[in-house]
Amino acid sequence: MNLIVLSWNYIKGQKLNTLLNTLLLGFGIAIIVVLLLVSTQVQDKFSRNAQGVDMVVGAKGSPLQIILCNIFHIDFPTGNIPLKDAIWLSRNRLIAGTIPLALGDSYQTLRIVGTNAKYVELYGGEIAEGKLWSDDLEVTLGSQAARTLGLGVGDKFSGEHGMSEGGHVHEDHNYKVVGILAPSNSALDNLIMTNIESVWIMHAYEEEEGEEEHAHEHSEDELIENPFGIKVYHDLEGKEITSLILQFRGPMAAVQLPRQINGRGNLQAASPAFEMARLLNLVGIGVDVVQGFAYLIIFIAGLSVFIALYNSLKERKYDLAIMRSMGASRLKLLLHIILEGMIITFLGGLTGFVLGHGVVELIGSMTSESGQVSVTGRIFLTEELLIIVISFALGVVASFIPAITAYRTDISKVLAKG
Amino acid sequence: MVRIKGLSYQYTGAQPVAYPDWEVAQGDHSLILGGSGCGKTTLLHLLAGLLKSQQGELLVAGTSLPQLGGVKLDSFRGKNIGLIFQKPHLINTLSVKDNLKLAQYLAHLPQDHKRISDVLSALDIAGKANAKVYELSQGQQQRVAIARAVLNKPKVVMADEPTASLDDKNAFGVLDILEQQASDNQASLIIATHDQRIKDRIKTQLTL
Repeated sequence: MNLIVLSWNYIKGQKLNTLLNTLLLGFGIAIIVVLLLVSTQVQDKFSRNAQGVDMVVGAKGSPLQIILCNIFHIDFPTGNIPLKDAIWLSRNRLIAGTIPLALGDSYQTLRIVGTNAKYVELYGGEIAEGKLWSDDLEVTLGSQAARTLGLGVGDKFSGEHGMSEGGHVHEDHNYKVVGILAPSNSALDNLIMTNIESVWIMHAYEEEEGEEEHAHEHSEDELIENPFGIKVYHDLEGKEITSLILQFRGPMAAVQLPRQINGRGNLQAASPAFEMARLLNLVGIGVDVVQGFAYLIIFIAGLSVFIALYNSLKERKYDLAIMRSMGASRLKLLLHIILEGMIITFLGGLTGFVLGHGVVELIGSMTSESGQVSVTGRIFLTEELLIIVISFALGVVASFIPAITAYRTDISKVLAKG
Repeated sequence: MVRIKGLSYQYTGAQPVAYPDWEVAQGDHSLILGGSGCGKTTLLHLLAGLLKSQQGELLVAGTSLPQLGGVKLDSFRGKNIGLIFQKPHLINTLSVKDNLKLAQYLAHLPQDHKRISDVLSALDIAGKANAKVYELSQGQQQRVAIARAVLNKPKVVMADEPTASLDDKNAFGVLDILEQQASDNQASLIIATHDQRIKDRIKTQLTL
C-alpha cells in the first residue's frame, strides 16, 4: 500500500468518470500530436525538397502550382515552355545553374521525370544498384518507387500518358530500368527518372500514332548545342520542356530575374521559399483553428477532472478524516488528491499520445501511394515530451482546489457526526 | 496511560466545557458516560489528538499531546491510538486486507501480512481478507473496523458509541470483542457512550 496504489484504487472505483476524462483529454492531446507530427514531417520534407532551388520557371499560371508540381510533384504542370526560352535563360549571367524538367507521364501513379544528372545531384542522390540513365528510354528509379513498383534493374515497363491512373498506355515503348537510387529522403525517392528525349519520344509517338514510325536519321553536325545535354537536331521549334530549375549566382538575381522572366512570352517565375511561406500561411489559419479547438478540449478535460474530484470529496470526507485518524498528515491527503488528478491526466496524455501516433500512422499508410507527402507515426519528437509535462501540470492544476479542501478537512467535526 | 488535569475546551461562540481530572492506568478498561451533548465525543477527540486542547494537561502514553503539533501529532496518533466509531467508516474502494495495509502505511509502520492475517483470524473474518468492503455485512464491517484499530498494537483503543446502533445481542458481542482485543494487544480501552447496557460491564467510569 502506498499513495499511488491508494489513488489508483479510487480512480478504479470511478470507472465511467475516468473513462470520460481520459477520452476527453486523450482527444485533445491526440489532435496536438497529429498536428505536431504532420506539420513537422511535411515542413521537413518541403524544406529538403526545396533545398538548392532558388527559382522555378514554368509556363504562365499559378506560381504555387509550379512549385507544387515541379518541386514536390503533387500538382499538375501549368503547361510547357519552349526549349528555346530555357536555353536563353541559362545564358543569363545571374544564373549559376539550371536543371530542365519534362513531366507528363507516369507509371502506376508514380511520375516519370525527364531531366539530366544534375537533378539527382541536387538532392545528393546516389546509385544503389546499376547506373544512371544514359540512353533514350533508360530509366533510373527512386528507392521507394522501385519498392512500390516491384521493379529491378533490367525490368521493362510501358509508361502511361498523364499523371493519374488510367491514362493512355504508351505500348511498345518499353522503358528499361538501368539503375536504382539509394534512399535520399527527398523527391527523388518516389520518381522514375529518364532523359528528356525519352519523354519527347513518348509524345511524338502519341501524336503520330497510326503512322509508320519515322526512322529519324540524324547526323552529328545537325546537333544543336545546348547547356542541358539534350540531343536535339535541326531546330528548336516545337521542342518544349515543363520547367527549368534555377540556381542563382548572387542575391541580385532574386531581384532582377523575375521581371526579366515574366516579361518573356509564356514564362512564369516562381520562388519556392516565397510560395511555401504563402501556402503555410494559408494552411496556418486552419491549423491554428484546429489547435485552438484542441486546447479548448484539453481545458474542458481539466475542468471535468476538477469537477469529478471536487464532487467525489463530498462522499470521501469520512475517508479523508479516517485516514487522518490513522496517522496521515494533512500534506499526505493533499498529495493523495493531487496524485489522483495526475494519474487521470497522465492516462489521458498517454491515450492521446498513442491515439495521435496511431492516427498519423494511419494517414501515412493511406496516403503512401501518393508518395511525396507520406508521413509516419513511428517517429518521436522532443516536443512531445512537453505533452507529458502538460498532462502532469494539468493534473496538478485540476486537483489543486480539491486537494486544498482535503488538506483543510476538519477531522473532528466530520467524525463527530457519525 | 491517560491522564488529564484541568482540561477544558471551548468551541467558538459556546461556553467552555471543563473536564474533571482523570486517569486511566495501563491496560485498564474505562467508560466515559453522559447524555448527548455533554462533551463525551469532544473529550475523546481531545484524547485522540483530533482536537487540539486549549487549556490543561493531557498525557497519553507518557506524551503530552498539547506539545505535539501537525505531522508529529498525526504520526503519534497513527502509532499509539486505535479509533473506532459508531459506523465502521472503512475505505469502500479497498479490499479488507488493503484497508488494514493502509492503516500500517499511514502509521509509517512496515506492512506486515502476517500481523494482518493474525488479527483477522482473531476476529474470525480471515476468510474475508480479499473481499471488498461493500460485500460484507454490517457486523463484519464493524469487526474489520476493530481489526484496523488494534492492528498497529496501539497503547490506547478509543471507541465512540460503538454499540449505539446495535441490538442487545450484537452490542454485547462487539463489547466482548473490544475488551478481548484490547487485552490481547495490551492496550487500554476507553469507550465513550450513553449506552446504559454497557455500564454494568466496565467498572471504571468517568461520568460527565
